[in-house]
Amino acid sequence: MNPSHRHQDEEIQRFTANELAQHWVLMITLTVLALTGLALFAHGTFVGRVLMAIEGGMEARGAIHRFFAVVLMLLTAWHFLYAVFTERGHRQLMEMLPRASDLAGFAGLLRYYLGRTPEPPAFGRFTPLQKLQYWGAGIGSLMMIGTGLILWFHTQAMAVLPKWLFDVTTIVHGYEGLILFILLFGWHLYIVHFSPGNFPLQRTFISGRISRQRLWREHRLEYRELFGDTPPAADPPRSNQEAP
Amino acid sequence: MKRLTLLATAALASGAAAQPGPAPTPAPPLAVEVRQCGICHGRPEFKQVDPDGTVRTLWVDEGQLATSVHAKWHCIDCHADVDRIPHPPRLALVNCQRCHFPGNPVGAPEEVNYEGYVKSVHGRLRQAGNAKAPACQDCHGGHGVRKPSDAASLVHPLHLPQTCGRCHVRVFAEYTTSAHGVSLLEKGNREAPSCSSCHGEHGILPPKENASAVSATHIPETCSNCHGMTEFNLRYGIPINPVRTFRHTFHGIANELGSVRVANCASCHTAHNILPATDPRSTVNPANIPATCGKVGCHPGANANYARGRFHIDPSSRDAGIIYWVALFFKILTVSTLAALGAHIVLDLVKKLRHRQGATVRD
Repeated sequence: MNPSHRHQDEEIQRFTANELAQHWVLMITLTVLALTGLALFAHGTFVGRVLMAIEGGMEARGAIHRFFAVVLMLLTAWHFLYAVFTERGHRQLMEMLPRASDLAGFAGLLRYYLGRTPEPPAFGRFTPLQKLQYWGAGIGSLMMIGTGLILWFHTQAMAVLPKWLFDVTTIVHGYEGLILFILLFGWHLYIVHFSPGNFPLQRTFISGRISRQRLWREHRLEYRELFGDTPPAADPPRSNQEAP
Repeated sequence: MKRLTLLATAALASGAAAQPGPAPTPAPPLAVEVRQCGICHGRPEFKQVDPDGTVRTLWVDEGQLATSVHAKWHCIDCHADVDRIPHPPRLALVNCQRCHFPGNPVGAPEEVNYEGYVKSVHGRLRQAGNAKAPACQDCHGGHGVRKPSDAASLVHPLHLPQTCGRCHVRVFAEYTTSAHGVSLLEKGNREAPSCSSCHGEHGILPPKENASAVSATHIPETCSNCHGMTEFNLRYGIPINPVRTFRHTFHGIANELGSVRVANCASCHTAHNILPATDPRSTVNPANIPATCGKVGCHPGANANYARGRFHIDPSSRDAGIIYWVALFFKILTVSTLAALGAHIVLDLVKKLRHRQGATVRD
């Protein structure tokens, strides 16, 4: 791409169709798993009763939960193969690995929030906060799959596992699910869609594209790699973001 | 013998007793005292041999009647179909509702739950023509009806198991050797449940019916009448609240939502043979747990490993050991996550809104 090109609403492709598809499947799967899980976790509360009624009662709820658990496991396999065996996927995984610079990035972000520095730190392709979301969701999902399988095949599991481990598994599955729910449906949604400048909908997860302005603002190191030190033109009026 | 005096009208006594029809209520003015029922029914040897060879005693124990709640009534007040002497060989079953109805003028207790009885499994079978199904007098006694609070009453809690056990023989055998039965019948502990404590009195329904107090979905509630109280449980050496801890398990949640497939109290502890886990006869004794959990339709293949470890765990109690600590860790983790992410959102929000405001002002 020509770095000197400064077309006003130019967007660049950030995610491939494969990556977007993975995100869509994950988004739908985790939403259904969270709602069917919460119906059980929040049993006895109003929310739990409403969810349980919507999901068709205990047995239907369980069937839906297990169906989407299988989808999540297939997606995990798909993602694993993608990240390990495709060149593009592997490069993304490498970019996603936590580094010491991420800690400095966190500290810098905190200083910026507290008004100690005028500018936020310059981040690369994935910001420390994005890495936290990715690894949080990833490790969380793996934990949910592992504990979930024990709960699914409880009759067999109880024949070999100590009872206390089975009880611990139940607790871990419940609370880990709750933490994932908070992480994705609270924090992730705020960062991506609800924060000022992104509200009400940031379209990257649909189009896979990001504006040069946003790339400059949020992933400056990546921007510099692509376009050099020349900042992009001012934000086009129709894009929903705050002043720099 | 006044009690046993049969009063009949002069018309009846003179032999013109051909008029049919039931005895009206209240009885018509009785003119002449013609016979005494006790002449026949007062003799212990008075009996009848039925065509099938069975011998039925027709003796009415005066003493029993004299100490019953109905001591002041005459024979025909209840046996209202006796309108001549000698009366027909088979009298109708006494209808207690002649007096025991709401607003009755004779002061008979009105709290009798007739409606409940009619809808009960006993009442329904009776109406369907099953003569073995109990009517009022089968449980309360015929001539010896006493108040349920009377220690000699057939439906007094201490006698009730025996009364029900006349028909429910196998259940009676199981109950009498259970923790409940031993406590009530052998130790005389009135806190221990008798039959009606769990099954109800007149409105007894089969456990398969959802409305029954001992149906799969109602049994935890019924057990919790006693075992839902911590101090009650402690008094009997039960260190945890079994109903509350059950409610938080998968079994308990599914049960609360109306699942009848999932285990309820009686699925593991049985209905009548309830014994402490330390008792080798108990279905929840470690030696018997594989068979109990491995029941058809539950967890086939349950082995000895199922019996290792504790059941009815309360994760919020330190007694739960590692389960308590893991639960505590995750509670703290959840709250910290919520706090950290919430703090970030607030910081980010404040910064971005200020930034925007500043930009607007600058513009």
